[in-house]
Amino acid sequence: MNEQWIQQMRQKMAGYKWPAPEVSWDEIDRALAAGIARKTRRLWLRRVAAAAVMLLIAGVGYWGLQHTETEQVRSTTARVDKQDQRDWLRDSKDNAENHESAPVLLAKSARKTSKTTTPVPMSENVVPVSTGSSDTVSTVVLAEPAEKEQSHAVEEKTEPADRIRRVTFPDNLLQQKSTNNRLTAKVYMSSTLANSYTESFGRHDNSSVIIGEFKDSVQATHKEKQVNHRQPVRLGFSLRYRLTERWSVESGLLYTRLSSDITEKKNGVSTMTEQRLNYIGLPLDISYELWKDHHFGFYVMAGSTIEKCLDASHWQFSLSGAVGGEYKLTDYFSLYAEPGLGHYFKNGSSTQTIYQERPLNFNLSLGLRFDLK
Amino acid sequence: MPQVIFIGNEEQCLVKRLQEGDKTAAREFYSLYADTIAGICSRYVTDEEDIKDVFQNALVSIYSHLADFKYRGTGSLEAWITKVVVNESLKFLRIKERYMMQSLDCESLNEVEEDIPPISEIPPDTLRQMLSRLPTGYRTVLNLYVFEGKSHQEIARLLGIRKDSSASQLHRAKNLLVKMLRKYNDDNPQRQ
Repeated sequence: MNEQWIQQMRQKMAGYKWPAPEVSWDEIDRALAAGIARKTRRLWLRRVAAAAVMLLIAGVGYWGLQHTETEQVRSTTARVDKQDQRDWLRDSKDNAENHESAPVLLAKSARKTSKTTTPVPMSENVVPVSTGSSDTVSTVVLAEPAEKEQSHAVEEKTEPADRIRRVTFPDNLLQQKSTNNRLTAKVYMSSTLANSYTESFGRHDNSSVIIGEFKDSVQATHKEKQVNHRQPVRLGFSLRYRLTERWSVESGLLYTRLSSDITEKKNGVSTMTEQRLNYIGLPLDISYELWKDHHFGFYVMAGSTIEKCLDASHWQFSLSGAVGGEYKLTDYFSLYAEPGLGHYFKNGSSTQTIYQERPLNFNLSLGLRFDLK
Repeated sequence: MPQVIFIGNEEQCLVKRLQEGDKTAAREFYSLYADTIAGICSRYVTDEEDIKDVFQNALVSIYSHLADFKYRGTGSLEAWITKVVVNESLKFLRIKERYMMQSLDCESLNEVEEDIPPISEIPPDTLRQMLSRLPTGYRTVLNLYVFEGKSHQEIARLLGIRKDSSASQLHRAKNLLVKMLRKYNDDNPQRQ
């Protein structure tokens, strides 16, 4: 079709005016007031909905963590019987001799290593090994089948429940006032898409084997050590503040949980230790919107995160970059996915973590966003 | 091209004041845009009473959705207003002229498309009158295609008709318009 006539018609009618009919201002004022009221009401609905979804996600995440944990506890405690415990006690007695009165030494080391955490009261079935290690470490002692008939399982000490319940969303964050710019909240779960597995063999002196700040002081024995880092799990909550049309800053709170299985073989006895570390972090990101339409949006983001380990004294600093894609479910809710890369800096701590093992990680973050204003 | 020219960031300030519920801003907005809004209505709706109805509905709709409006640079307010007014016009036509819109799909095309004669000498008011003489369905499709820059696909979706019937409506609208323009040029030879 010839486009020229269209251009001519558009030019002809551009800015075409018609004398505006008389209108009732009462009605328009009412519409204006109703529009503002509706907006405020919707804002509250959205806030309530956002809070509900966040609680739901936090609940599901928490349940997920709890669930996997109880599974592990069940599987390790199932094998405990009195005979085993007696056998084990004999073992630990041997250990104790090596330690030159282990309880005293271990108590010392516990005091030394847990500057930020209070020592956990010892219960009867808690073994000295786990007391000595950081209080989030659970220990299972397994004998080599060739040497002993039965596997020995030792009741593990589960971590205090509040360690996991740290994922809290302060109420006032949801009610935060903002200026004319849009404020967006998000909740997300993210995971690093890789496991890490390391193995080390050889003779170690008494300072070389460190598990969760616990120094094993058995001298010069043959040891093998395998560390299997599991996928870190991260839950977070952030608020994004739009600075300009395209630039936004974002910050919030995040909780990270790292867990690793450390298996050590020494003198024919395998010791499997699960190291769990919990972090609370403060991310600061900037993002730039690349493209957006009614339903989809794409952006790039870069940022840094400082995290404090709750179980040890170290801090973890990281830089990250990601691309994000979001899909608008409604006017205010959107789903998003952010694949990205993170670089974790060496923090000088001797605690073995996946971050120290693999400083550069690929990760994927999935979450929900809510426009608050 | 925006018809209301602002100096500096006045447009953005006006939006801000409107969104804060400032009543003087609402009056100011009215004095700036009312005729333009009525102008858009008058392209879609022919009867003066209907224009008034659509105009008032559009104004109410604009004011009640102002809080959702995002300022995206110069002219964005006017672009948004146009969108709201067109939506209100279509809403009105859907209700009032339901049968007319439905009949859009039933017609088949057997006419040769003709070229529009020069329109530079035709006053906008006369062109609007010609548009108003087109059957509602034709006029609506022509408005959406020519002035709102919609594709046939979008028009089909907006009006609930088939894509090819949007194209044939436009074709017929154009041929009718050509006839009216020729007649006008014949009747006013001094203007040529």
